[in-house]
Amino acid sequence: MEQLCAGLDRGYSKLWMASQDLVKRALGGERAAIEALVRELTPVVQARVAATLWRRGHNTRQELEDLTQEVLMDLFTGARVLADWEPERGLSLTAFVGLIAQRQVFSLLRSRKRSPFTHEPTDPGSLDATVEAVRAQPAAEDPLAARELLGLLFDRLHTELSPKGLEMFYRLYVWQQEPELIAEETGSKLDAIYQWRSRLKKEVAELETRLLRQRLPDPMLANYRPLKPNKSDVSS
Amino acid sequence: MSRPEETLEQLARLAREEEALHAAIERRTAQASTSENDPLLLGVPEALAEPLSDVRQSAIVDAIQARFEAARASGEPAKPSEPLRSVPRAQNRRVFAVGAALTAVAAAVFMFVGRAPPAIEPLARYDVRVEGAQQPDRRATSPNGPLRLRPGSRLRFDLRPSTDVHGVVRARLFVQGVRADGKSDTKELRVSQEQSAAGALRIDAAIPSPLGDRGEILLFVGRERALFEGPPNEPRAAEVQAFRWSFQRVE
Repeated sequence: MEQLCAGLDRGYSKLWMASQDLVKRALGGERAAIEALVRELTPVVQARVAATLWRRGHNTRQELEDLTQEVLMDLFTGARVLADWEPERGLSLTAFVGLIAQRQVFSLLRSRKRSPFTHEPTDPGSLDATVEAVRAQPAAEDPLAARELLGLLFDRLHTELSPKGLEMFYRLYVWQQEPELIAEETGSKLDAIYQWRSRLKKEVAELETRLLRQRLPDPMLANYRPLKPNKSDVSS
Repeated sequence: MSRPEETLEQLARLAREEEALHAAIERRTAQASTSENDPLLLGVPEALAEPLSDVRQSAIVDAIQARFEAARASGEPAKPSEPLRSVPRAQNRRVFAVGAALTAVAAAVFMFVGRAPPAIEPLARYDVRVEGAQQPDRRATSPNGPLRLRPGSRLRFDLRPSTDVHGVVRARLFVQGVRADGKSDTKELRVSQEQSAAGALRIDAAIPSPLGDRGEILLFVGRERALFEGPPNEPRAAEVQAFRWSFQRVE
């Protein structure tokens, strides 16, 4: 069993080294490498774009293709995101790209101030609502609003957390990795990982407070689809 | 559990649901066949899950390569130690893919998708409506099957920007048909064009004869330089928007 695991480790290491070499060649402009990477990463990016568009009631092929292209272009030529991938930190290339792509999709959609899909703002309600006043509203009376708020918070988390913060959120909470493993993979001190846990709580609390205070219609909220649609709720 | 911790757990649950959906869509795009049994894809339209075509992926590769070369030409630091490959201009214009192929000019147009120089206002996103096929109005944004075209029939494209667009915007139109022998044939169509003060466009064109049994209509919209000048050493053109419709010839 140990030999098998060691063999698998070597296999994974070789795979990652091959991917790292491919990324290096692609960022150097080699067409064959770019083609191979685009082929490998397009499904990863498209899935994030498709899921995000669908949640917002956008089902157009054109929007999907344009956004997928935009995200892929940014990965290669924007902030050279692909160059930041370090396989020794424990994330595969597709996992790394998946996180970045998700963040970019939310950012791109949010930055479209006059998207053809946004509705005209409705009455924004009271801008002076305090956190306590809003939280005093019984959640049971408006589960849809609570779900929508969570969805908005999810979007904001992806656009406002730093890339490192987002990675820590996924490692600690989504993939539920042990802090010791995270410390080992990322080369960080264990204390630093625990500090990230505290920091994430603080950042989420601040994000939630800002959202509750604003109570402005968010273009992202227009046509927002609940995460668990009923079976009868089939999009057109 | 504190409120922020509870919120983080809820957000994490959401993230795991999203990851499951991503995985299902990735499986669908990788298989390129309908996964009717995947309950996670219930309600997700085929338009979002169908894989990107080889033509589109090839165009993305071209655009990436063009940006690298533009950065190299403008003297920006090269990417990791590998030197950028110098691609001859003629080769740079060609795009080949399994199945349909884009014309050299169409490929060059794709390469110049990028940021506008400070002096030129970037284009707002256009919504396109096409009339003249053997069916009612067809929006580029919600295709419902191929256009049914006859040689000699006239098409009208109405393009409306999401915000006002200033300055000249041009369009180029191509028909790419697949002949009976399986070879593709690409022609640029002569168009008449009108532009409103707000940047809306009306494009009229006649479908040529002979016409392949099936193929694609490709419409490119952009600033004049982006569409008509050769590949510059650096991206001085504004963005170009591309629209396409598949068609079927009818008698």
